[in-house]
Amino acid sequence: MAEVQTMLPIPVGFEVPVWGVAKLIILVGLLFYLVFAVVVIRQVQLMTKTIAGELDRTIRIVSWIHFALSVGVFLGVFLFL
Amino acid sequence: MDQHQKEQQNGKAEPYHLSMPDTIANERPTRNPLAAYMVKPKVRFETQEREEKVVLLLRRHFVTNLGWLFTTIFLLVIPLFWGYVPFFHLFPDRFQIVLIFLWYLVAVAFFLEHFLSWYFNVQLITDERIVDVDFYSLLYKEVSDTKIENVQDVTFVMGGALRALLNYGTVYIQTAGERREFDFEDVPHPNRVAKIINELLLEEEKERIEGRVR
Repeated sequence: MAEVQTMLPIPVGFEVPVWGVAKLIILVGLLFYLVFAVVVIRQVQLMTKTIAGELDRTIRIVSWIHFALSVGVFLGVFLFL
Repeated sequence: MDQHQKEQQNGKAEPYHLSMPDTIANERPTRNPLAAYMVKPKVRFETQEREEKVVLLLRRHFVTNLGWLFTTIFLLVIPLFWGYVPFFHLFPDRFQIVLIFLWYLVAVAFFLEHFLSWYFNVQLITDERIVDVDFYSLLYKEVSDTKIENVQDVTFVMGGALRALLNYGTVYIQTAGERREFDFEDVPHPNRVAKIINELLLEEEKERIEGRVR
């Protein structure tokens, strides 16, 4: 952290919680990703309704696993970072 | 209600629909759900009528996916070399792990979007219609169809060494319907697709001459 702070134009004696800000930025990014994961689920529902084939079930499961993974990463970052 | 409709209601008469084109009449249904050229596939589509049979399902040739497949592999491999990037070590260990997770999420998103786009952007040829299903973005879809009898002209183009080698190309279908042209881009066996549509068209004309109307 000290190394990064020396690279930034920060006044002497003033400490910026760099990694706290970084965590916040990552969480906001992951929040957008969660919205994207929900849109993918909705998209898959729409697509499988339009064309129903043999892989529908597998693709739906994959979209839910993708959503679960993004929730897992979000919670991991929120709790442990 | 005419005589045929009465018979159909009693289960005596066969429904009026075109027979399978000669080119694929004896072919077995395609089992591979990821095939780009599927004969008599086991699929149903939103606006399909009860008696309507899907003759062909077409997607872009698999080789058209190689670009994004290689990009996905590239995205998956990149984190292995992050250790050689000097500034990466400035991040605390926990952040390094999180960055790798984030990178892989982006790679998965990239793969999913391209796969879904390829898998669900299909063209269907049924015994009554030609249906073009396009998903342009995450939630925008366009489904166009035209009756076989509206088809006026079928042309196919195979340009370039790769297309000639792997036998894929674009089929242009001119119609008398609201949408003037259907383009089936980079589909496998364009010559066979054109032949099948022409056979269905001939069958349709034969039906019209015989006075059979669905």
